[in-house]
Amino acid sequence: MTKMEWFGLFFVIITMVAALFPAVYIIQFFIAAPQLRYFFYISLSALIIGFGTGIYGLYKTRHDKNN
Amino acid sequence: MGSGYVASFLSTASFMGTSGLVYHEGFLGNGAYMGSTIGYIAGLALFGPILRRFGQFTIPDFLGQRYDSGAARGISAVILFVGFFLYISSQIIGVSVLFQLLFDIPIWVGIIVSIAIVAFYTIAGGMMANAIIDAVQFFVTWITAIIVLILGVIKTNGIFNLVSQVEKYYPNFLTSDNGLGDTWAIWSVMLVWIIGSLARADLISRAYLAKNVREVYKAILFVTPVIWVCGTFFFLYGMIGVIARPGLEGQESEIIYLIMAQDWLLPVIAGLAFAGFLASAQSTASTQLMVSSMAVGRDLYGKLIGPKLRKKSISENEMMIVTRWAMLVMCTASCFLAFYNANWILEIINVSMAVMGPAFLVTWLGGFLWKGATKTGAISALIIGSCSAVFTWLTDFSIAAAPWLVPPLFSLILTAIAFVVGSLFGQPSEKALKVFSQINPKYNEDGTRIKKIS
Repeated sequence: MTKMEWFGLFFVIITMVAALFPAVYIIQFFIAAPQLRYFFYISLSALIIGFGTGIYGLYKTRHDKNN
Repeated sequence: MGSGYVASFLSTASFMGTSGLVYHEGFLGNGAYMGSTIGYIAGLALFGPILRRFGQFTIPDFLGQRYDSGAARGISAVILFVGFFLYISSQIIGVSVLFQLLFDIPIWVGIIVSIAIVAFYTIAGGMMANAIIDAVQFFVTWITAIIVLILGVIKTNGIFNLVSQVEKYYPNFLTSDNGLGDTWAIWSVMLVWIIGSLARADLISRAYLAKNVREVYKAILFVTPVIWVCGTFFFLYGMIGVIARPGLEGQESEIIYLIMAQDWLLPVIAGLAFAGFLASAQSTASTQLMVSSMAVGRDLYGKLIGPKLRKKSISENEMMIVTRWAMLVMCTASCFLAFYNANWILEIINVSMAVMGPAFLVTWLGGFLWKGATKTGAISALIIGSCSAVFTWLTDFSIAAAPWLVPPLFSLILTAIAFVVGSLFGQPSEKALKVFSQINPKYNEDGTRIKKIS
């Protein structure tokens, strides 16, 4: 891996680890406020679309290093 | 690309608009932001890879070639320019408020200074420099914002305690209608933002910077959890604010994030938090400035007006000069709007979303999925979509017999009908079908489906 790729890797790891804190707070919030849980379920659709497309796309392009 | 996308997503609407609205309206005030997170993630996931595969510079470029129409290119460029002109003004207001708080200078001085900074690095740097600056800005914004949130939760003794205090002192805060009885209001705002964010031309243009399609998919995986978290993140600031700093009014409530940062953090980290806020507004404004000015320089002048006036094709260099002039004009115009409307941040952004949302969403989706889509359909959708969405939003449109038919949904249905009916008149051209086959590898250049050889 090049220096730039290492930098990118650390950048992503720090960002994701930092995102864990608000993610835990959000889950705690929707546990504490069950009347708003519909909105939590709706927002989960964004996670499904994002992760679904991302993982499927990476699988589909696993042999395409330059395309 | 991913961090640039998130940096442009985070804006004054996040730190000021949403937190301020939540402070006064409770969960109802978070509807817009929650809708936008769904739209932004889905927008990149659905359109990013396709646009990268197509490989052009701007959204009007795509629409112009997909529908083989100069008019579609021109109208979409004008919609972009108007929509982002409104949005940039709101970002500039946010930054000027920060300058006022930090240096105690009048708002108008803050407006001029903030637009000058954004204009300088956007005009001097260009699209790639813009993306690199965005990545740095995102990192500072993200880390400092999370530090402020963690401290806020600690100061209010944890989320569970915070919720019980809010329910005790503000019984309507954690309801979807804030006790007003209008249960459709939050869905309406959410929908306008889902539609508006799905078709965000400035952010989707980031896909063109990716090295290849695979990089776009990696960016989607990075962007998804970060933006998803943001959907409730800024709501939490507003909620912490009503308990930790109750009784704020007007513009003071909009800067609740900055007040908390100033009160709770060490001066050095508070300074970084302020810088992060500043960066969030600047990154959004600079991206929009770049995209909308390119729409004028490349699409309106370079591809439509210039060749007719000069009787020859326009060089890249000439397009760049016009793009830079367009940036200056846009900065000046945004300055005036910011002066005029200094206390009305989120409303300007909502109108901006309405201008672009249904018009772009329908023409993009139609262009990607329907080979029979024609330029008549695209032009009808662009005009009817932008006009009807602004009209319904500004006039508080509603139908008593069908309260579920909220303005953005009504406008979206109207735009889709205009697109389909318009497309039924005439046939797509050969060039249009060729572009369709480029973005849909299952089709031949003449629009017929490729047969599988068994």
